[in-house]
Amino acid sequence: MTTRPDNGAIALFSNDTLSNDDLPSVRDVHWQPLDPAYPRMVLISGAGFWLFAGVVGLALALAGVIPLQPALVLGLWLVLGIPTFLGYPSARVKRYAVREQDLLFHEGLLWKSTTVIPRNRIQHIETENGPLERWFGLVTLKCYGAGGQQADLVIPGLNEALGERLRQHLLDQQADDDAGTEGDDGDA
Amino acid sequence: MHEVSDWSRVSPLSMIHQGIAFIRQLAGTNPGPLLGLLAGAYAFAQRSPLMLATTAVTLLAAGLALLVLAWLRFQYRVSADTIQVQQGVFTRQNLTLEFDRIQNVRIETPLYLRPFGLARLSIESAGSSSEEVHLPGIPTAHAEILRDRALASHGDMDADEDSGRQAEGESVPQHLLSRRPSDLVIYGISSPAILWGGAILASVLGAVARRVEEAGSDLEPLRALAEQLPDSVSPAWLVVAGIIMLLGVMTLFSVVMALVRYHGYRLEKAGDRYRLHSGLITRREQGLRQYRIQHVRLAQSLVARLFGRHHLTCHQIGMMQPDQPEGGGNRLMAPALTPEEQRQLLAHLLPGLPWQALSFNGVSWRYMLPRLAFWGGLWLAAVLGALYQDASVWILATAPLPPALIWLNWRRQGWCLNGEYLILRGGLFGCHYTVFAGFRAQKVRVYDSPLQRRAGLANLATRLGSGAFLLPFIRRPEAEMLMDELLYRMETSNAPWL
Repeated sequence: MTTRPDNGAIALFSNDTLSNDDLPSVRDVHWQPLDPAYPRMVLISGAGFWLFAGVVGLALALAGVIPLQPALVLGLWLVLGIPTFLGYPSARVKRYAVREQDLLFHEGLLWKSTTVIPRNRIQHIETENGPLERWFGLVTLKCYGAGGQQADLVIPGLNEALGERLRQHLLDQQADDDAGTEGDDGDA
Repeated sequence: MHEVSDWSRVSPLSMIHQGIAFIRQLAGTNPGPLLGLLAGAYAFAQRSPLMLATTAVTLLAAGLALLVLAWLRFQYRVSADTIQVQQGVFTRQNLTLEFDRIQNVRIETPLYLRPFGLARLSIESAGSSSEEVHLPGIPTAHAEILRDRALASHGDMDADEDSGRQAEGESVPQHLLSRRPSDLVIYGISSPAILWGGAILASVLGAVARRVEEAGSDLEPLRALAEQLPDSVSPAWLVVAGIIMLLGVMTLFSVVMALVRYHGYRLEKAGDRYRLHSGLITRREQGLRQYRIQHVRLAQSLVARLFGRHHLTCHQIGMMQPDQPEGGGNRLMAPALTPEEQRQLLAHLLPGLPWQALSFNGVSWRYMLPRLAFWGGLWLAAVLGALYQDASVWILATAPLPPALIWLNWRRQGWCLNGEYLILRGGLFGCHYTVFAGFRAQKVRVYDSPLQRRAGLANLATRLGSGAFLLPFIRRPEAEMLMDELLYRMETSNAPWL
């Protein structure tokens, strides 16, 4: 995102009227897909859990430990499979974008959502990878703002090298920002 | 300038404070297990009183020992630009807070510390709640010096440190607002705390009623009472009278709380700092700098609307942590404002916002659909239940109520973008506003459901350091425009946003 063309003129006290036309829009973003391995990983982890839960559930039902008809458990299991296997297409539509000033993430098959966090509002950044992610060579990038408990922006399924580069890139900007404000303060 | 004082301890009286705080926390966060424990102890005591007594004495002694140890281990040290605290009985914690990073300083003088000239100083930093320093039980004068030093050393970024300090400290602060008891009574009657009290009371009464039903014989006195009543008084009226009485008690309680909490209310402004003194039993002093205000909320309940009042709160970062029981917390409260007082205060808090001249955009009528569907479903289930259980037709009569409320609520929804401010409006009978400057936001999210997308609608969610806000069911282009606008404000502003 670049600043407005007339930025110089409105640098100090401005009372600009709303100008949605000359603001850079989230509509014109160039989205990047996640790593192709990510949907596969989601599928495998989801299916693995689903199969495990199903087998255990059926075994318990057959053994009479849980007082439910095995047929009912089977039906329940199949129904639960729908959200599990929807994980694959929904992982495929997830995408992110890095702009000059902010970081964007888009997700959702039916309930679609676009989240934006400006780079100068990121307080700290984490990269995380669990065992399965490590196996696939993926990382999850988490960006935290101020005053919250949870990460404000989570981008899963990034290639390890890319995740590290992205993190470093965002940290560099933070360092720049800090240096800038320190300078503005005129003290230290 | 770089003098470093020695490590010092707080007054041993602080142990009282810590003990009270511990009990309050225990009772406040999980009363369930505590009650269970007490019940268990009671049952146990009937069987083996000696055992229980020894356990209780041991626990008490251990608690006291811990308090003393904690006091001995708690030390603090102040240098030119930092305050250091060492604490912890088992694991030693070392915390260094730079005065630059200090967010807020609060001085409280609880009743039991006042005779000794002691106060409790709380220092909050911009970070998490773990980066908080509480000095319970230091001399009040010392607390005030520390406060002034902490607040003076940061924020004076414009090099006019001395003039700034003079404007804030020594010079006469501008008086903004004081509250008469009548204002506080109105606040007490109309404050939403009543609802919480009501919910708790209702659940307690429900439990009591169940207990009474179970113990049928205990009902005899009540039945006798009912028989003595004249025939014209039906049980239904008794219930109504009971509810009214309950409301009366709750209101009285809330009013008393408001009078105690905000007794001697005085809001001042010195330089860019607001300072609030209030409290009868625990005297509090809260301070807040103008640029720390994240969002301002103007709230009005039904009762407040009858009086034509609004309650104003200024929120700063860290609202995620629950509010303190006495309504302390890290927000500045201005209760029961008349329109004129509101106008004057807003002129200070939100400079350049023409509050009277704002025009709001509504949200789509489809906002009502999911709510109507939910309540409609519930009502349908109730009707079906009534058909099979031959309950009264009263349930049918309640049908128009939720839609009317939903309609009212929809009418209240609105937003307005004015200069750098975004104002969100909501409410039901009353009206509440949330105002913040766009650059305060930290994150923006636009999302929609399939049905919303077909109708060309979307929701806009944004998070500030002080809380998250949602603008539902606006047109998609509007949502995208607001998103772009907020991002523009955030990314081009150099002002400190926390």
